[in-house]
Amino acid sequence: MMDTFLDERIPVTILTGFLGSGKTTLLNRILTEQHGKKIAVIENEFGEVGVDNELVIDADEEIFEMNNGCICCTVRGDLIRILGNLMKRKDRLDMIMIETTGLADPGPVAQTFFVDDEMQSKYKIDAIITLVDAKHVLQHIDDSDECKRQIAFADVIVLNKIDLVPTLTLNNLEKRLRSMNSLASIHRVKDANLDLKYVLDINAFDLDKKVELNPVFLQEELPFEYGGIYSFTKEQHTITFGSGPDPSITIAFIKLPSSSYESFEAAKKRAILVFSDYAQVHEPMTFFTTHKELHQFNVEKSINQFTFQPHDEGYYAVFTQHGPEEFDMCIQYNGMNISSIENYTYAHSHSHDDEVSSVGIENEKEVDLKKFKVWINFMLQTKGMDIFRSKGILNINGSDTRLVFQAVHMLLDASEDRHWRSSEKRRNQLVFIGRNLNRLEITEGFEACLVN
Amino acid sequence: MLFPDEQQQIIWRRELDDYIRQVFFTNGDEVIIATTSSGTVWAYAREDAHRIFSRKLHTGAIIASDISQQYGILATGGEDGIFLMTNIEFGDTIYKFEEQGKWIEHIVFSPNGKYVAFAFDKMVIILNVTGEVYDTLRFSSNTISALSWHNDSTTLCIGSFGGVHLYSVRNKEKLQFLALKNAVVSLTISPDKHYVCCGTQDYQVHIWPLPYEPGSDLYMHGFPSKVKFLSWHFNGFLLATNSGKEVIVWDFSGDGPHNRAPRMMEGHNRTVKAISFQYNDDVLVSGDEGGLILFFCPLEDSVTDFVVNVDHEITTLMWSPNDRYVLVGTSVGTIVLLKCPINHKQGLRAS
Repeated sequence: MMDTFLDERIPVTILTGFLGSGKTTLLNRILTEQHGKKIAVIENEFGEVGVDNELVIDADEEIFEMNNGCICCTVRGDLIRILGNLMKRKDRLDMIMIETTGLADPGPVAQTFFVDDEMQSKYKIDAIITLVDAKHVLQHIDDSDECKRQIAFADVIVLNKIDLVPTLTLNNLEKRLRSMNSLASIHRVKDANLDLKYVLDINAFDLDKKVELNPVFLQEELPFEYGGIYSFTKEQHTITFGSGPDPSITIAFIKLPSSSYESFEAAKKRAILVFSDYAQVHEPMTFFTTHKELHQFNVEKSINQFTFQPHDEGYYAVFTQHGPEEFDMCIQYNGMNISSIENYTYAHSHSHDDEVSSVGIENEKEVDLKKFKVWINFMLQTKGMDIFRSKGILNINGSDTRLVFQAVHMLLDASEDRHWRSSEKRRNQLVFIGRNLNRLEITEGFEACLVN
Repeated sequence: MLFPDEQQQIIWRRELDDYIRQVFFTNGDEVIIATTSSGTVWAYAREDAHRIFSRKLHTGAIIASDISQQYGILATGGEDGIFLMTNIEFGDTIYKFEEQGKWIEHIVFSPNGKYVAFAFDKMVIILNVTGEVYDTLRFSSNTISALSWHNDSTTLCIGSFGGVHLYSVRNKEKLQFLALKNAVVSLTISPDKHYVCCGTQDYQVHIWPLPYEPGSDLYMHGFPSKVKFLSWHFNGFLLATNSGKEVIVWDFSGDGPHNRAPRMMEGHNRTVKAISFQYNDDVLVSGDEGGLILFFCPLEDSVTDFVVNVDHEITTLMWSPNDRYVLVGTSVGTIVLLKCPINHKQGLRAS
């Protein structure tokens, strides 16, 4: 295993993003900021980079299939030549930025650092940064494979131009991006103005780095995105909504015996059943009670108010189909806002049917290493075209050391990591990002590698 | 650490604060030239290592360079997009070519020293020693990744992704295109003109026997790294290649290397970064990433025990025209002049 502290390889940041997403603006920001680093920039579209003392190299896009004919193992020949020359200098570069064209697939760029011996020995990918134009991305995301790939490959998604888009749209967009790529951190910015600590030297490709899965993402898929514990009197309350992304929102009110987590969890299980039932439908300015647990509110006006009376005093679990913030939901009693006692958010399963998605697995069982090797190699060889990236930490049976792995398409890199600490839970965390992923198949495949 | 005989082999050592790209002997073996990543060219006397000159020729790194021993001309190309032909003794510029935003990545003089070919992007330009453009070749559809002359100075091999063009410089005509679904990273043609060999992006050596019949290609697999260095024994029977921490020597005598086990030359413990056969004798020298330099006699059964350690990554090795000296360049600017420890023709170690 390579010792992180002795790793003298030059970090490489890959900057992707659709046309007009702000890549060059971010690049200029990086180059002009006083960070004291000597950066070489490799770009293959003409940008407005005009920085003294920096190296800007124009590169033709030469993508080579490796000789085995597998399209998963493409590399960038121009990059290899340029980087090969850049390593031959006394004044060591601190960092390399590769700005891809707006229509580029980041895969061959990333793979170059996996399959070429010299690139592996002298360079390490620090991160893939994807700029997303918050205003225009929805015009491309459904039709452009490159756009999806750029999002799927990202370690960091910079959601740019947020000043041009309403908050609700941003929330929905971020959720959609999250459903496509659960590994990436997402930053909302204007004018590509982002603190460089989120972009440079972040070691996102470091196998030694913990896999940081979004906790929401790892949870089971539920028919609601939010659950909260509220305390209601038996008096009349109002519930108000703004106009949301959908014409209606469905909410379950389930009476709780107490405000404990255990009773909330029991209510959550009941809510799954309740959401499969018919909802009582309400138009604005109407009244309802919570005898019936599931309610659908039509909220097509700018302000939609409903009055309700809890059938009993005490704690209620309120589960909402969408995030309440998307609809500016507000519950009031006597003109005063009622805040929830606890809040829980859940991954949504309903909103989009993107072919690009993430599958996360987490458990605390032990893995049979032999079985895992067979399974992961088989899966990446047979599905590597569609699995863009994968990454994980494994709790191997009989080993005190973590096994970490990551792959770009079918190119797998795995090594023993540090010892498990006595204070930490030994657990497996894996994530797969790709196109048309079969969650059940992947989950069952991995579970078959667990020690009984 | 000094190895046996090491002190006897090092004649002198100079330290530059630079990255040595290439080293050459010129004026017989009396003057030593080093081209560097700072864009500077240095000249030293072989005899006593005194500096003759240093000239800053390029604003960025020198990427490629070569000399015409016969005419005393140095050709350099760099990140600044400039190709220069310079008279080594007087420093005057014979020819200058500039293409902004491009890197001049390949320069090779013909073995007779009369022509120089340089390449950038998909173009090759051939000049004669007076600096006149002799020919301009634009037929490659991919970026040129390797250039190599045949010993007779009439044939130029041009490698890129997709294959190798053979070009007759004398007749100014394309001879043949040898197709390859891969990227060429190193290229050579055998002294007897029976084989064109190249290292490829995915760790193979690909060989086209000449005259080429489709399907007669040979492939050598299993290298742990790209084969970037190819060196022929002067008689054309042996081809040395790098292979991770080893040097491999292939036997091309008779029917060629097919079904013949190569000779594995062990002794390096870091990745091999340069190899070179003598011009007219049997000794092979190799240098690695850790600074170890080994001398081999592949025609003998035993591996030589002549080892020199210069502590830093070897970037280039060059024999003197008389095969008596080896010039070494490193990634931190060290230039070392070594005496060849073996006089193989006499079967004796040089004293």
